[in-house]
Amino acid sequence: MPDFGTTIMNLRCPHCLQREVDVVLRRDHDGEYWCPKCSYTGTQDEVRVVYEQVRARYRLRNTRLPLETQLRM
Amino acid sequence: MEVTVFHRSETGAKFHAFLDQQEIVHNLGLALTLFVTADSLFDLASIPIIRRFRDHDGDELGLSLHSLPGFPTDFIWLLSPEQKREAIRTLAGSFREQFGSFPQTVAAYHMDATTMTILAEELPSVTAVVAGCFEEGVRVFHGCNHSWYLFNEGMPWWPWWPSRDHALSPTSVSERRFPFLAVPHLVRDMVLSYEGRNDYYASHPANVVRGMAHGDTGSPYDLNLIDQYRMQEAWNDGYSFYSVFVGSQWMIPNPNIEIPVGDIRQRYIDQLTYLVQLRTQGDLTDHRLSEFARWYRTNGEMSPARRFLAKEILLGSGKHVYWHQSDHYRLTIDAHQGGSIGDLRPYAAGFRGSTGPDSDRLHMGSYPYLIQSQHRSGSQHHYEDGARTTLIVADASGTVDLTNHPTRVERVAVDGYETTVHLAVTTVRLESGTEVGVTTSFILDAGPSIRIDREYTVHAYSGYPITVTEYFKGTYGWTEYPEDLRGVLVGLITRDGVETIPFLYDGKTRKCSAIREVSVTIPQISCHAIISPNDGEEWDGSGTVGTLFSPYYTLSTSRQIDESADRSSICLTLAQQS
Repeated sequence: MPDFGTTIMNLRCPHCLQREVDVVLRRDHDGEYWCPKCSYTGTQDEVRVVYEQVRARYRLRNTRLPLETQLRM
Repeated sequence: MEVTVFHRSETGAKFHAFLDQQEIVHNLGLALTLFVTADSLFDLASIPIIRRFRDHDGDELGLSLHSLPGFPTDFIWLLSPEQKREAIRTLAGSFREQFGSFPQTVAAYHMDATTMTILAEELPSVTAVVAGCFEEGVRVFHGCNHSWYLFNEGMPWWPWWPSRDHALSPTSVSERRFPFLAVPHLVRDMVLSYEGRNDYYASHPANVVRGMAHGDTGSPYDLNLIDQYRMQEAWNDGYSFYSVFVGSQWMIPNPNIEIPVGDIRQRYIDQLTYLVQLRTQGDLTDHRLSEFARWYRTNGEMSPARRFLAKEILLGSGKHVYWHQSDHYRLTIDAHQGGSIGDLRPYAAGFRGSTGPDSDRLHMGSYPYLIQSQHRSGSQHHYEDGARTTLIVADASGTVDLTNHPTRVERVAVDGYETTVHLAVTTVRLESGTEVGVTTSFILDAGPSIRIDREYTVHAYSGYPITVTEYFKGTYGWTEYPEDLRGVLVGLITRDGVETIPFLYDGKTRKCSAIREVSVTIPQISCHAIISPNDGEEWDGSGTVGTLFSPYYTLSTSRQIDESADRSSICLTLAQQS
């Protein structure tokens, strides 16, 4: 496993993610997250708010579209 | 539908996740191909476990060329020919020592023609290889911190017989191909892998989570994608192919995953359970890879073409994209851009290339394009348009570009070797008030030509003559950046002679009447592309070479249409440069 130092493993930069770029956020001692590639900073809650915006674009993510439906689409 | 499931053996921190994955698949009773890595081959504790998977659980053991200890890089296609041979000899020798025979199947993220040549020489036992990650390239490079040198754009999305010229180029000619079948690493969403990161949208539940496209509960998109692949049987003589290859690194905490590992595991189980359900219904057959290769030799030659009608199933756009692959080209029709050609790979050019430090192409494994509308502008919406085709309808009041009028694929009809892709009618309105209904069909046969037929119906005719222009704006390249176009030659052939325009970045245009052909020759990729009228009517022709701010050539043909109703037909033919 690479040494990510102070990296928190389970949060990516939401601003980069909106551009389909994976960048793992770093965390300051005061708990603020920051992106090593862009200027994004935010708390964990703020990060997760943007994640929901990323997910919102997938309007069919909870919709099952079986074969018969797709044939008609 | 034919299905393969692959695993890769792991040691160290991923070992227990690997064992768990094995147990999941064995409990479901799916046919599994396990690719054994170098780390496992040299790990004495792993060998008896892997032998048991073969002897007790029925797994096929193949050789993984991912992870190459002792070599400068873990990626076989980026080694020198000598290193490629040494790696294959060493690992295959060890495989035989541990398992009693040479492998029948070998896997890498990408295999170039040099690697395949060495495999064919060193391992005549091989019947199938995992040889590419469909459309992985520019966007994954961007998305992975510009540090993932896997360029696989322009390849078939389904199993193919790899050409000795370029491993991603398919050929049904036995003398020109390698003696083994190539299959993709896994399968992708054929709309979203055209317009975005293909790894996010694939037969890989963990990567779907990486793209945050997973459902709040359950795995609807993963199952929808399976059904989208099942749908392809309708226009592929009953054939479709789906593959799963989820590495164990996704079953442990991963920097690109923000949900619990247990959820990823469950989504993997959901995906595989649905495959089992479909198998029970008689809707699919699961194969170990060498079994699939045998099946394909007997059953896979039903048609020289592969067809994929992709319908967007995640964002809700209703977008249709049609893909067609033959020995001669891979064509992508973007119905959302009025039925423009959005991507075109000229396999007929016979472009030769391998990767490695000895190669002119270095890391670039992709097969070159003439058109890639996503990388190279496509329709005009910032400064100027880029690589694409379209139909332009004009009268004295102005012009309308069909690209700006989304349509859909109404029907895919297959008759023997001929495929007709029918697009829904698009009605455009000129400033003068004239309305023109355009119905487009692509006729794709076993040869190297793409025929584009149009039917026109005119309403509210204003009195101005109506002209239609078939427009092909192309270039060549592998990435989103322009290549050097010097040496490219645009040609116009009429009954009176030939005119040529060398590509000197001077923006020159030539126009001729009574055109027979407008063509481009691209020595850099040994390609010749020709536009020719196909309806017996008299067309005007035009050829343009671009500038450094517009690094494209444009080939077009125009004629007036009847003011009530008319039809037109042109052919785009691809060939090797003579």
